[in-house]
Amino acid sequence: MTKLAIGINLDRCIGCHTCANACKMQNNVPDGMLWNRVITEGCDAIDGAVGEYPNLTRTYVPLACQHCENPACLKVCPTGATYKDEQGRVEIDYDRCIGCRMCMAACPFNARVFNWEDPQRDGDFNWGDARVPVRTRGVMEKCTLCKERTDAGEEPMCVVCCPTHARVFGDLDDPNSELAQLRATKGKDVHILLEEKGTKPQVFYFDE
Amino acid sequence: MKLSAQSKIGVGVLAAIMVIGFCAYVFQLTQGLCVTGMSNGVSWGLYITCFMFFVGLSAGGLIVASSAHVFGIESFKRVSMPAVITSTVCILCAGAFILIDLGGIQRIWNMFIHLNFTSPLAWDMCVITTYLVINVLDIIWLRRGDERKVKMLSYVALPVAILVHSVTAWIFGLEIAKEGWYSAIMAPIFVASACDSGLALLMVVLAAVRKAGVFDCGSELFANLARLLATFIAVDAFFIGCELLTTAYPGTEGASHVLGIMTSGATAPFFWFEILGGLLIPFVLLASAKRRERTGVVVAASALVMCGVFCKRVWLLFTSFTVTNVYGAPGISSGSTAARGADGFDMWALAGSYMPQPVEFAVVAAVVSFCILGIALLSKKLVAKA
Amino acid sequence: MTGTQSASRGLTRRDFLKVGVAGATGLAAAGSMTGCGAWLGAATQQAADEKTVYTLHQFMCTGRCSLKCTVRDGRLAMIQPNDTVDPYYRHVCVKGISEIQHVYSDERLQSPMRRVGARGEGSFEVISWDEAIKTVGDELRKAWDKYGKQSVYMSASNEPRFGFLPALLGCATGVEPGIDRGTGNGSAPAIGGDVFGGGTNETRDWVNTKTLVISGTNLLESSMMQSNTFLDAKKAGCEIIVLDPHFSTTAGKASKWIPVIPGTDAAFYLGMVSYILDNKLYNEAYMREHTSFPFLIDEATGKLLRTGAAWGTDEETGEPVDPGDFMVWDAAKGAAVPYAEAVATASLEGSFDVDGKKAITVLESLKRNQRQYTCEWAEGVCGASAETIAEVARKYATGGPAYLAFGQGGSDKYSNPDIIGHAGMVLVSLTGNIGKPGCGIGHGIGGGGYSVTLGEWELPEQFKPAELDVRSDRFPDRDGGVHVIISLGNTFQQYWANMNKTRGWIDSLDFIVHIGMYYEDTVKYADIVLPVCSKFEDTVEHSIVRSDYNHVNLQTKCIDPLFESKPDFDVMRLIAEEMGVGEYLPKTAEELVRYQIEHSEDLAEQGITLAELEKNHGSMKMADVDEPRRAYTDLKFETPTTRMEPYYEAWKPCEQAWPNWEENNEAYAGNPLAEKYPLQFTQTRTRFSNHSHFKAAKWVQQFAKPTLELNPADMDSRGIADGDLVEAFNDRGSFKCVARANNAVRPGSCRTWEAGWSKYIEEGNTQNVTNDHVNPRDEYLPTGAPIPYNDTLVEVKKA
Repeated sequence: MTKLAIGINLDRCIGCHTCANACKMQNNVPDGMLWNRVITEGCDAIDGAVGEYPNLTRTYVPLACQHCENPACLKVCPTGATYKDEQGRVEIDYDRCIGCRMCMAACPFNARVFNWEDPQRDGDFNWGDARVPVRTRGVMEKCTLCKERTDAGEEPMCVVCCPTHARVFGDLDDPNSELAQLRATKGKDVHILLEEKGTKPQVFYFDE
Repeated sequence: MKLSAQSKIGVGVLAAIMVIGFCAYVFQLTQGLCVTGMSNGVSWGLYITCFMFFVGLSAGGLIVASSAHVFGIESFKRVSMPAVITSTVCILCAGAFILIDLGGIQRIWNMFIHLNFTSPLAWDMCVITTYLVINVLDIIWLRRGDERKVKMLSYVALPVAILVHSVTAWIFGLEIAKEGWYSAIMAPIFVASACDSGLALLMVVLAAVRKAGVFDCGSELFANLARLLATFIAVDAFFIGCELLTTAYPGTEGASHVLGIMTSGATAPFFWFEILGGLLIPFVLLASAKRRERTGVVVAASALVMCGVFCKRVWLLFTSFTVTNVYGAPGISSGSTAARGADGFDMWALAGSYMPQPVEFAVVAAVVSFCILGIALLSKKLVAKA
Repeated sequence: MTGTQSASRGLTRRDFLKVGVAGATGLAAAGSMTGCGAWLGAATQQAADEKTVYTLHQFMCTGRCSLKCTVRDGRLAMIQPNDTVDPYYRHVCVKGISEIQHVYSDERLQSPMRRVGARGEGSFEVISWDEAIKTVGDELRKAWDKYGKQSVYMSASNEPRFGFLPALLGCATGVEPGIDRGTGNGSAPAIGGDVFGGGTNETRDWVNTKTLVISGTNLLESSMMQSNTFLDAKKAGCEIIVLDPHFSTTAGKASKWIPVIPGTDAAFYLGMVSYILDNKLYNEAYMREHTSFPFLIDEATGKLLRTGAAWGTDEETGEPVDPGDFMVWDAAKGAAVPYAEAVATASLEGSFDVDGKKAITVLESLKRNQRQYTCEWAEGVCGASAETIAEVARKYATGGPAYLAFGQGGSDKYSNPDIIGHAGMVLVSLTGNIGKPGCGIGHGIGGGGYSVTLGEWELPEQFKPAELDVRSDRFPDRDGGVHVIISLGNTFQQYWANMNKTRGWIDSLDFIVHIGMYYEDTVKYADIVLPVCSKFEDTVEHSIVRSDYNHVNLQTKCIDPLFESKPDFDVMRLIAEEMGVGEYLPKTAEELVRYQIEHSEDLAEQGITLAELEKNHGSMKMADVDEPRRAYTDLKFETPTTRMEPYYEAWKPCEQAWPNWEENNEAYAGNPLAEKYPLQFTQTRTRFSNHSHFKAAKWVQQFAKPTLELNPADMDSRGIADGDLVEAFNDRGSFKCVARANNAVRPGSCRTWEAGWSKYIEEGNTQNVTNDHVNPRDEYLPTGAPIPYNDTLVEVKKA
């Protein structure tokens, strides 16, 4: 089996949002939504801080589809539009999506975005990778783990563009991959987002 | 079918609302769901609230009607027809709301060729369809007076009626993502709400058909049903109490957050209306045998129960939408720029927020009109004068 | 260089558009339903024509990204890091990617325009290039006739770049000297370094540093493309200590954040100096051999003793007198000798009698001067505890390789940041933390790597820029004789504090031509506006070659100039031609690029040619750059003695021969003005823009809304809630914007982003309130006193 995933080094993430725009660009994500965003954890303001001055902490958490092993979104999809592919990615068959938004309510990470209207793009232009399908109004979309790129053996665009090399892409089922080794060796420095929800995210976070 | 002048005006008004609502729906079809107040943060709104509400109204009617036959409660059999009529019309409305809420209805055929049986929505489609068929058969056989078939059907109808509401509950209750939804008691609560709101609707309909001179079920039965309603309210209150206690007791952070929103936050008005106006007051009103004999009081109590249950749908649905599991700025992207005039940073919301838009009100008004008109016309046509 | 690849076909965007437009107008609801666009599922894009272009991004952010661009149907479709560049240097940022939209922004200046309303009103009419250039020419000639050539001033900001024009026109120019040199002013004299205070070692060298003290900069945002050097250093075990009033992004990623009172970094360093002196943690051998610490000072005058006569002119010959060598006290001989004669035996401390004069060593002088600056004193000024200061001092002096990093955009924008730079140099002189792996001082902007010298296109001798006595930021106060401004980029907004006063001066100008890309604040004051295009657009194949952070990078045209805009070189040439001096310029930017490459000895040595650059996708790593650049490894400095000279004899008259603490002009404890205006106001640099550039980028605006950030405590006491509209004001003026609560902001301070566009806040302009005070030490500082934007007090109230 192949189980593609991304590991994110939280110590290297400087909250620059480059990955968010890299994803938006690659995947022709319309205005007003993003597949990938960077959360300043627990704060009401971007670059805010938790605690009282001067006892402060800050964690940036890049957040997108976690490509769960046990995806809550997949089970609730009435048409099977959401599926787990042979690469271990959670994908959406846009042609099957009926826009019921069951998956959106089911995703614990708020990773999914919906085309509430005809996609708006400043400049009325389909930017990004020409291989990426153009979605229409009324369908759900989210991080595909850059399906079109990873199918062609390329890394996801967020990984390519991360200026601090905080992202590691690879196959968790390949014990020789950097990713699998990180996951195996980092021990308690590996963080799984909302682990208690039991969806078994393949995406994971780790400390240096 | 002859209609009085008054009725004609009524029908005319309802028809007009339906036309407006239909236009609103067509508008929604052409623009997308951006014309509603929904967004990526609160991805279900008034339509789904109404869906839950109407499933409840429907299930309540059929539960009363089929109980009459299953448990041989002779007196109840007299109200079977009105009960089944409200049940049928309400389930049609409920189904309509699901379809109205779909963003990609043009791809609905995927529901037939690619149905995914792990999805509660798939179960819902099956069970609602079954339920509708049962309702229609029930009407036909009741009309023909085929007591044997009605009785046989009732054995199926009762569990299906309970199931139809349980499945609706599972759409929410099985979602681990939402702290306020994920609960085993969600189905019993939905069934209890269905029983009280459905019976309340039946009471109102019975009062109305009596007033209209179509059908009079008799004061004794009316009072008895009112007593049953009081019991249903108590059961509903019990389940809600169980749920609240179970949520609150461990004092976890997530649960406290949810309870806070419910009791003093955005959905607090709905929560407290439900507790006081939807449970406590109607129960007190119906607790006394004397008051139960006064039609006005019963109708008022019934109306309160329905409003209360509607409010419950509201707080149940939206409280959990306002909580994000991974909290932090910038939050969740609304997903719609033009609809909300959101540009740049305004695309974000830290917590979900929702305000129904005119299109939604128009569509809901149209479906409610259809419901009233449907019950009225079917009652007039099918319910024999007692 | 460019390759073409085909892509799959499907429904075109135009089909979608039809549907979208019909839907939006609500006209053809039925049409939308019958049209198949929105009813079908997903479709793949049609790409009739797609090519890949390798180019470079704009230079001002110092990120120096080499980019791989996808151009589809004549439009930028993707921007990625250049994948042929060594992975260590391969990068792009949130701003770079946002060019996908930003280049096509509604805020682009599209055509030449002439002002029709009053200055500042923003009413313009579109005119032709011919007419615009002719008007510019007429106005320049008018000014030349009336006042002379020096009456024209070219103020240069981010983009565009008009390098040759000042010389050709004989006008003065500047990337304004009141900016960014504040700390460098104080550090440069000690080593003869640059006035920007550039880091002595490349930031890649930080992996060898054990203690890195960063002050006055949020470099993980302002030098984002060098973030890896910070993160790699931390991973390698470097303890990174950040001094910042706010819990900045950099503070959040550091090993230790030391919150300090705004504008008091110098006090922290002075406390460190005292601790090192008191505990004898200094490096005597280094001080003796490589600094002026053993030199003797005449205690009475504060002048350094020399072997020769005093400075001056020989009365007989009229030649300058050579004052001779500096003197030291040779402990072996018990006599004062020229310093070169007693390198190993010079006394570092003591008081001596030299020819009847009482002399002390420079170190002795420092020790006496430092008595007032104990760690406890520093605690009282900067707010960091004496223990903390002592701990940092101990680590800095004894914990292995140590580096003092300054920056720009923070504590350098007060009235007296030269003291920070100077105190930093004293620390370096005491410890010898320079010229070795992991040791150094200065800012890390742009990484400070190796560069090559490109061929220089020479103008004939008669073409020289004018020199002005008055610095441009003083024009509103002092007549510099300037009547015409050629403004490149958002200059008025960025370079002049106290905007209300500045406006009066702007109104008095005869003519302003603005040349830029975007509809920034400065545009509305211009009489003529000339639109230039981005670096992605061009009329030639290559118009820039740049020596960038250990690389040579080449710009390549991606698309034709949009709208009526022109590349900056073409506009510069048009103006030069109009003024009759066009013949001295290269015919095209490409000719210039070829000249720069062909006439560069460095490039020739490394075999780098235009063809090679094209073959290597526009980016080539320079030879021998594996080891990080380290300056002064021979410990020879660019001072007269080639030693570090921390004692600034020439600054004695202004009491800064040693770094002496001086309160800020406005933001200091006990300022009576604080009763009226209790909040210090700062304009920080942000990852979301490069000064004024990218403010209009919608993809950046997703994350960045200009607000006034306050600590929640300060908001509560003023009855302000998050999201409220507030007014910040002082005697100079006011502006209104939305308030944002942020715990990371120091109580007693408020902050917004630098170079904001007034159109993106509710009312007024952030520069309306900023301080334009001129430190009286102005004439002593290499580039004059800095503009103290952040040395500003305001009050904030609900609007």
